[in-house]
Amino acid sequence: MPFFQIDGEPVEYEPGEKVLSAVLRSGKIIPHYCYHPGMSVVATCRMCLVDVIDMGNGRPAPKLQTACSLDAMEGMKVETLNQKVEEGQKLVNEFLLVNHPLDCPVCDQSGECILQDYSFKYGSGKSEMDYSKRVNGWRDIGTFVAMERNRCIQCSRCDRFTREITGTNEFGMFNRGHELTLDTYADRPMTNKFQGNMADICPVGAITEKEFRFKRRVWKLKKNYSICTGCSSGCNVTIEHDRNEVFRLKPHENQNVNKWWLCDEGRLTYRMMNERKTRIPRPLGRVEGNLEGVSWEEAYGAIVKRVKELKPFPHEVLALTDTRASNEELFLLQKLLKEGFSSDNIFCPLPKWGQSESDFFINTLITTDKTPNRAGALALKIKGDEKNAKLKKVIEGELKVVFILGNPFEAESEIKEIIKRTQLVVHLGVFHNSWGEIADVVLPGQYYSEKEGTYTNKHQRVQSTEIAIQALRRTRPEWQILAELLQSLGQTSCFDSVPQVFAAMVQEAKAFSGVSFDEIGSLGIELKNKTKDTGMKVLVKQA
Amino acid sequence: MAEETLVLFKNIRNPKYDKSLAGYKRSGGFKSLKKVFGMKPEEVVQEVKESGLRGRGGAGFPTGLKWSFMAKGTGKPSYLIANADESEPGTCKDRELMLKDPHLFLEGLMISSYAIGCHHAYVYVRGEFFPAIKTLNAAVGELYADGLLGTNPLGSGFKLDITIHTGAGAYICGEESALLDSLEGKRGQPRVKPPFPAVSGFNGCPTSVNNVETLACIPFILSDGGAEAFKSFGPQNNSGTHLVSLSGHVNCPGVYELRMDVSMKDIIYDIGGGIRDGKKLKGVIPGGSSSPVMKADEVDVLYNFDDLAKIGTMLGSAAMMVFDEGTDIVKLLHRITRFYAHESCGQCTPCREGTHWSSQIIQDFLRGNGSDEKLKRLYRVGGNMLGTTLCALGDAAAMPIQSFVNKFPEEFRKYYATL
Amino acid sequence: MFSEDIQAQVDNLLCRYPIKQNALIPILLLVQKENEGWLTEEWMQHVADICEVPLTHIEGVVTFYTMFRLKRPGRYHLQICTCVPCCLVGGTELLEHTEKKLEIQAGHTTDDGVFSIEEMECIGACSYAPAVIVNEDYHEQVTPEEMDKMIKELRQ
Ligand SMILES: Cc1cc2nc3c(=O)[nH]c(=O)nc-3n(C[C@H](O)[C@H](O)[C@H](O)COP(=O)(O)O)c2cc1C
Ligand code: SF4
Ligand code: SF4
Ligand code: SF4
Ligand code: FES
Ligand code: FES
Repeated sequence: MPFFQIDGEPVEYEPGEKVLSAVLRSGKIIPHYCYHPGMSVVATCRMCLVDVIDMGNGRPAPKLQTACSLDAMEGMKVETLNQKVEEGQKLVNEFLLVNHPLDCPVCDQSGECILQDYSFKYGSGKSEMDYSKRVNGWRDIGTFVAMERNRCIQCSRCDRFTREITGTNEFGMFNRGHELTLDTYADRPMTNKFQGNMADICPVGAITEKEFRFKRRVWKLKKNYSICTGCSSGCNVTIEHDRNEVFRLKPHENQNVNKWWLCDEGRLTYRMMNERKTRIPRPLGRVEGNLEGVSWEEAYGAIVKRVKELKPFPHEVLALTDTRASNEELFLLQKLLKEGFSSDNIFCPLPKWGQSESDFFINTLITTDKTPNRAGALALKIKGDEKNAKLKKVIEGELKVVFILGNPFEAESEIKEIIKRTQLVVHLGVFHNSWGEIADVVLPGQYYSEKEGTYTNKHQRVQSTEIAIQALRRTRPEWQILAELLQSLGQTSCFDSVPQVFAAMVQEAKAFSGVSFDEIGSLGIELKNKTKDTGMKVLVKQA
Repeated sequence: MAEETLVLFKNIRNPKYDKSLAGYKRSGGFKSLKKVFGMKPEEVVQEVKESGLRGRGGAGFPTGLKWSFMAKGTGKPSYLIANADESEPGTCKDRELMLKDPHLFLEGLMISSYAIGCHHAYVYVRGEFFPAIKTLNAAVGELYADGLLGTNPLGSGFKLDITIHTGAGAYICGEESALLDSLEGKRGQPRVKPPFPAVSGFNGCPTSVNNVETLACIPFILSDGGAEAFKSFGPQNNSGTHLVSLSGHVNCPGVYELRMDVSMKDIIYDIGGGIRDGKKLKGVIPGGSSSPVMKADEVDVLYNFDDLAKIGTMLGSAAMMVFDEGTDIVKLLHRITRFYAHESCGQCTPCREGTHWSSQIIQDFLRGNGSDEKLKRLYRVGGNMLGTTLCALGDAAAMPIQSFVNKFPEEFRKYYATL
Repeated sequence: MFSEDIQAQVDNLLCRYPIKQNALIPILLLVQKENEGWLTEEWMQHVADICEVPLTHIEGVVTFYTMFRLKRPGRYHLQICTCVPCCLVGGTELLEHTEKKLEIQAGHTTDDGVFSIEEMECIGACSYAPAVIVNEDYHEQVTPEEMDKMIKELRQ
């Protein structure tokens, strides 16, 4: 790749690329407001000024240039730190502060506001402008975000977002000159499903998430990489939390998955991470018809005892799982059946699912499959079909032992009725649900923000989650519960960690062969042996 | 004694001139077009290059050279847009041409379209120019009726349409990239360059934007011996005659066609008949409101691109605004800054904030709240707009501020100095 | 929504441009003229449909250009230039005179709806300053007396 020099160091660029884009990709920073890699270049904030001391032809540029609109050229020499540049940045910032309320103490952006950062760096912190500032005021502008127009610096990212990214055109530029406003017109609220992104890309605190308003100062938040489990797209996120409470999900850039974006529905899934009331707090066992708290040892002991009494044939054992479980959990459940009972009676729901087609990439994110790991289940060859026909056949025969992982077939009361009659029903789950009501033993798992795991998204990309917050004391991650059940039932295989389970899965499940846990990293890796038919149907193209 | 040289105004200065198509033809119109149809387009561009014609829209860029930058072989149509947005304060020459001799300008537009291979030319007229719009539409109607527009004019095999397009009130749409956005049906906000219009202009196609007067020079340049003659009218690099819009405190304001070797002094005192009411000259804004102001003792200079540039100002659109000793400099500057604050498109930071802020500071002086510190601040705010904006409007707003403060500091002090 | 004549003009405009959006500004001006000098949301929506652009786009456009009006102007819209050359030779005084005469400020309409005043930036007639546009007609080197006379004549 060709390269140019920035402050004496080489930076590679792709032909046709702009200087700012190449510099940001290389991990260096040039201050900027209006530029966003996902949207068109407007070069209007004038913050990204650089000094081109050699345009690649031995001659300097006559004046400071905006890096975002400057074509990178072989042999070019650019300075970003000299006095001329600093003066340029300083004056742009001063102009921006002319009309800015400087209400950082009550602004939610405080702490992640570029204007604030640069103002501390370059400014006196107060403006010399002693006239009344532009007054616009705070308004609700949509289902998910609100706007404090006083704080707007007219970078137009929001306008470009609804024009170029969602195509919904709810935002616009109105009036001109000093009166230029970026807004929805005449208080019309926005309706697009991706408004949270506008809060993300707004470089100041003009557009903010209503959900997050005044909740926490951002510098207190700790962050962990994860994925959104709101649907099968598996958008990459950071979970932002403080004192074991999650405050928000923010997108984490992954060009192969969600680019820079996240949908509003996905963002709201953070609420489940803080849910306590409906959580199963500890193992439960049925004592004289009632579920009562027991210890883990008592629970495992009771299961082993019943299994020994029942001596089920392979066809009398069944496992049901949903597709919210991680790859490792699905794999271990499969292993439990195979090694503990020589059975392969493991089923999950596999209805057809819809994928939108659209000229706007972002519309293709939300799928109708609201589970994160259907592709993982398919890769592991867990059984199932659209109408659950195969499963219904199996449950016609006699069943002695049934394992339920999560909340599969939640609406299928017919299936539930039959399983209710089984002698031993073991339920692994996070939240109380109707399976718990018919189970003999209930084993409390953990929500995905509390444990490690890998999930396979709709494009069959395997991605991993980190532990973000601490789980309830008497719960255990499902992969561990399944490993412990295997051991209790006398199997020799022993798993102490998710990577270990993953390694075994790579060995034993053909679809995962050739993939290693380390390769997943923060961006994921696609399966090499892909399932051909994933049950996808294309939904009509959205305008 | 300075006097007019009539090339563009040859017809207009003839009191009996009939501006209809028939009248224009009778006065020798469309001879150049006929000749050009026998030439190769490159040859036409070459002639224009040789004439030394520089754009009359304000920047003074060589027209032939600009045309030679047009992207070729892109598979996209090429466009020529006539810039008839004339809104730079002081400038009223294009209106004169369009109202009084529309066919001269249209012939220039047609020859130029042929030169750059444009088959549909647009004239972007500012919306307030209702009479000029009517005149142009009528003239274009005549051309279609006569077969000079449409397919195969004069049996040339060339196809050309012309559409008169109306703006809707925005000075910034005179800036060529803003003009293109406006022509496309958008807010007229200047675009990032590169790409330049010659590569990606109207609807993303190669486009040349040329001022009305620039185009009106073309028929003469392409007449026999025209390029040579055009060049001979002025000093080197300042070819041809140009239209000077003279306004302000002179006895005979008006639009005059002059060679580029006439001095400003002669323009004010001979052509303009001197200062009104026998007053003394205080200064001149030489080239549209954005050009740096000159004091009375600086006007003994040739009125052309290079001589004005040498003394730190500019010819711009050749709009001379003359003001006498009774003029309040602070009020005058306030009016100028108000103009830019009103006309800034607002997309880029220094111009959006700087034009408004500077106008407020000057208002402070007018209200008796001036101070040394504010004068310094005014100068600094102006300077901070200079060279940091997306389009040249920021510079245009900054130059008057700095030059007024430099040249007339005492006028500002008068407003706050203790008596 | 359009009369036959206007529809014909709109169609003619549309076919002068490579894409429909290009004709937006001339069409809006035409519609505004037909609608007594101002635009309503209904008309904007209609033009949005014709030019195949979102309504927000139209709103952005009409708030950008000074010639578009979102409230009804007077029957005679007096557009008085006070920009630099006009200001040098009495444009500002002419505006103030007219404001006093009609007892309204620039930007407003008289109670009877006959006159409205707008302060203009340069209207391109600087050598013939001060200049005024009344609806679509230019008046040059206008003195306060001439303005009075004009107002009187227009009132009748
Ligand atoms: C703020 C601004 C306003 C302008 N206004 C006009 C104008 O009203 N008419 C014009 O012909 N050129 C105007 N120009 C210059 C045009 O951008 C462009 O240079 C010109 O139309 C090119 O034509 P020419 O080469 O024939 O001069 C303006 C430029 C700027 C920066
Ligand atoms: S609201 Fe935010 S994103 Fe939109 S223009 Fe203002 S500062 Fe930029
Ligand atoms: S598109 Fe799906 S995965 Fe992405 S944020 Fe929305 S719900 Fe979550
Ligand atoms: S300099 Fe002014 S007019 Fe030009 S783009 Fe910037 S804000 Fe708009
Ligand atoms: S980031 Fe380059 S001008 Fe805004
Ligand atoms: S300043 Fe009034 S017409 Fe130009």
